[in-house]
Amino acid sequence: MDKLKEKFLRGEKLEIELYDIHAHIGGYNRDYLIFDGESEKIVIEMERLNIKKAIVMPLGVYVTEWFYQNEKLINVCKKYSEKFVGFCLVNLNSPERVIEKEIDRCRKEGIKGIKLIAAYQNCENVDKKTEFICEYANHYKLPILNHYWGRPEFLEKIVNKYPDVWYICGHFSFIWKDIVNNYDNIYLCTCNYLEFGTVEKMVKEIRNDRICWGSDFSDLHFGFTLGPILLSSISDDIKRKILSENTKNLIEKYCK
Amino acid sequence: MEFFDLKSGIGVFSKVTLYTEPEELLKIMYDYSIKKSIVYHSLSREISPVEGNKILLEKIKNYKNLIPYFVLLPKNSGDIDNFEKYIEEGVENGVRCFWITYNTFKIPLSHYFFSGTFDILNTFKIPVIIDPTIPFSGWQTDSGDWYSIRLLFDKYNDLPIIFTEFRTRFHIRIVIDFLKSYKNFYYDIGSCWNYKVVEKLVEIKNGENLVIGTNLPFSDPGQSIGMLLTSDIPVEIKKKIGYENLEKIINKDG
Repeated sequence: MDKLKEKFLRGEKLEIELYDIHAHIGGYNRDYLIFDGESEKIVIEMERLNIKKAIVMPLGVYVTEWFYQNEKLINVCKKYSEKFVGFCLVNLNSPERVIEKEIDRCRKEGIKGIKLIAAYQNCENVDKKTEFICEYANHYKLPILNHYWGRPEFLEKIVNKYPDVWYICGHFSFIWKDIVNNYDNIYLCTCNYLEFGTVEKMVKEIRNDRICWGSDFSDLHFGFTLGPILLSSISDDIKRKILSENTKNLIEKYCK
Repeated sequence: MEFFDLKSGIGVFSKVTLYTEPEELLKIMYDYSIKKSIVYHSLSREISPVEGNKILLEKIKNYKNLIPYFVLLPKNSGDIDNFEKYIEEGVENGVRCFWITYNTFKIPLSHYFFSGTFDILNTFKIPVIIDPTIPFSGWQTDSGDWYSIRLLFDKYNDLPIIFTEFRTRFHIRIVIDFLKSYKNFYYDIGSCWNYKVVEKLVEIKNGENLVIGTNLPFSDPGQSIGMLLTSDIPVEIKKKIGYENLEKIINKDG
């Protein structure tokens, strides 16, 4: 049995600094209670689990009061700059000039990337609006984490059209396999409900330097996403890449 | 740390799975430090409990760490001539849990209640699992019929009833109320993936009414086990949730 798995099963602290590619702050959600969702408590929890840094986005993905939510994000990221890298939330229902103005504002306040989640926003013309965001991000060489990029063909089209964007697929699916394998600027978050055997298949079929652990806190329990990786039969070296190195590299290179 | 899994299946399911046989399940259990599992058969879940339960008993009779479930249709459904005798024989053959997955058969949970099914189960005091899930369907998240479940708890106050489903999301607010209100309400932590949920549910009754299920062969067991292992709770409580609570209610009168 590999050491990381053995230690995890024994309940010992992992000697590995974790980097989280997909997380949320904000404290409140319509769908259910957020327990201990205050940023101060989240930071303590990150320390307990040896999570060095996380890419964070507002939790209120339905985009009600999205300027207010981005403002909360900005303040938390400033307060805990050693822990959080902020990606601002975009309401794709808004006019393009409003979106541009809000992302400009967030960037000036230290926000490093953009979060898209059209699926929760009853949005029309998603592809057109997404392209607008990508054009903007391409100009400034920004990363975008999208909850769902739609069809792989669409993602491939915009990757070719806007090659200076760092694309992050927010939730794991094998539909992204080919495009992640074929392009250098696409990262794949592990976060999703995983069927038995998924992790082993994932590392066999997808380039290991682009698979990144995402916890989706404070939506999901840390263990829900850590467990499948740490208890899988993949090697400790690959676990370290997924849990630490890949996202660390992404943050250090592209979230300056 | 060792685990006692509330929910795993064997057999050939309509969806292709990575294992089908009890020997294969035992190997996986070893890999995940699962010492014991309560097991059902694919036929019981997807075609007929009458046939599946019988095959299950035969399939796992030589494996002491696999404990059989009987998936149940309600009394007087026409499937079984003598329901009382059927239950009694199941218990004599090692059944230590009954599983009511009512949506699978499109029978309201309230019908199980009003047909007297629970009156019989109550005489055995063997845990009953309520599971509204139909795998890979629209009945996966927040599917509990909480009005009928409340009827059960108001009438049977010392029959252990365990609620499990594929995913509890919105309904966690209801689960919290049930954990606070009924001493015989048990909850499978593998059902809810919310941030810090294990820690918060533990605060209600010190973890006494929580158990863990993997949902093999469908789900990655690392998900539920990972939640327990990473939770910020004392090791003693993790052991209770991971193993001892289920063993305690399974062996109470069995």
